[in-house]
Amino acid sequence: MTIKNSASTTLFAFLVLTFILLTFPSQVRSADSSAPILVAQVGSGVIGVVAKEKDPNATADDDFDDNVWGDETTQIGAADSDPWEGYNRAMFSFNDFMYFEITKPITQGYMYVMPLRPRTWANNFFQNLLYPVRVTSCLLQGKFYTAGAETSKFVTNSIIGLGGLGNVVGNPASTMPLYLGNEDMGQTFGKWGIGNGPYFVIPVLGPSTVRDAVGLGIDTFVLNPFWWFGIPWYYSVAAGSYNQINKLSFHLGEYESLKEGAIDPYLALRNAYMSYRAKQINDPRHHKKSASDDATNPNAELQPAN
Amino acid sequence: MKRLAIISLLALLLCFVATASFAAATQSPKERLRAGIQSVIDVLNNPQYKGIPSKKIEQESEVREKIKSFFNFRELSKRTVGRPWLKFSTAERDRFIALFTELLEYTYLGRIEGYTNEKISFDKETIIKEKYAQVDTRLLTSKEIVPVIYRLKLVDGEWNVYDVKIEGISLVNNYRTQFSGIIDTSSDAKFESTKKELFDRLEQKCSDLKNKPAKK
Repeated sequence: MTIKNSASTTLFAFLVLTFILLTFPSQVRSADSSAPILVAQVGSGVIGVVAKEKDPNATADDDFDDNVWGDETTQIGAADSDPWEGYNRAMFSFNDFMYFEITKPITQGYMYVMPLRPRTWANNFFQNLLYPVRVTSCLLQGKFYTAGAETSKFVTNSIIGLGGLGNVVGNPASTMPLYLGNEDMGQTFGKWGIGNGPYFVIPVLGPSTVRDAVGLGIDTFVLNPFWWFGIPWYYSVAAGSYNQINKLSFHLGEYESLKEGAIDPYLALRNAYMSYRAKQINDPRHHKKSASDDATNPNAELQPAN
Repeated sequence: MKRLAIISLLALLLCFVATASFAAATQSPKERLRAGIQSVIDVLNNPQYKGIPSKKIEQESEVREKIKSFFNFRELSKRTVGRPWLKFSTAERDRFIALFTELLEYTYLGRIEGYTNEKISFDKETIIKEKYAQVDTRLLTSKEIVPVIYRLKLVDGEWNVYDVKIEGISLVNNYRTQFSGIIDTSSDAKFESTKKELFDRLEQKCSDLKNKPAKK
């Protein structure tokens, strides 16, 4: 009797476990699963938070409430803050002129002379050299995992990658998910809860805010090794400009495509900058996964929807 | 033992209920988006068009049709205008949708054609309020990974895209900033004149894009 009893208890326990496993597949089997039911539950939790912040006059089912996703609060506050619009617009026009008449032709000439590979090496070298900028911000934001990743990347590239010319880690297709957020002081201030302040277009350098401009100043003059060791300022400026031109050679055409479809390019760029920064600041700590199985296959036939 | 049988039967029944409720739902946002994007890619890769300049116009119109089948341009236009949309007449709304769709087509079609078999990874689907969905995707190019987020709305049992977010920059939000910089709702007279200006600028932009020589 006792044996039979304990056997049935075991069987019962097994059945209960099977039942749980079958009814909550996404929660038990894999934390990475993106089954809609689980996500929907998480999502409804988010709505609860958003609903509280919402304008009490707005009805629950408002088609113009773009805050359903809860990610536009930072932008709304920032977009209104453009007290220097007159100056900014003027400086935007100046920068636009500079870009098309001076910077872009120089970059195009440079690209003509310099093949892709050396440009990549130069880019890697500067990226590696600016390690103190990124690691300081990582540490100040408490992103110790990213700081560790940055450090190992710096050490590896400096030793194996010929002083940073090569990039032996951090290939986007690599199996090792190195999450590097390209941190800077502006993002750190943002993480600390300091607001953007007024939008501010820096001469030649382009869109910024008061907060990011201060951050950029600290990044450049305090944390950038070019300004250490008593290097004369004109060398530092020359190296910085070269880095900018070299970097731009990889991003030529991006500004043009933003401007192409815009009705008001100034506002388009302002919004793009603000949104991009907000996203950088709110980036999750480490989310980079290798490509999921659920990808388009360019060579395949249309996949049947299940 | 009888109790056991009842419990296991109950467990089994519950499982059936769970699967049945999944099956009853419409095509999920992720599936819908993937099918839509795949259909565009299929047109781009179609050997019937590929590399044949004379068929370019035909291919473009087919791409346009495919995109229209899973994009909701009405919702997209409504959201880019924001609240002033309520003051637009039906004719004005239709005119705006036509113009804005044209503007987006002229801006983005050329870029879609630059597609060279990059993989798109569909990562996560989030549904809130039962009618809004977000699908996180990533465009995997050889150089970098570009996160692209699609937002969809359930209208008449179909999930259709109303916003695209690339690197944190939302298409709708970006245009709304521009349009709200033009439209002034402080008085009726001002609203009428700024509305006219908005349409003029849209038309101007469309004709600029249309007449621009196709380079690159």
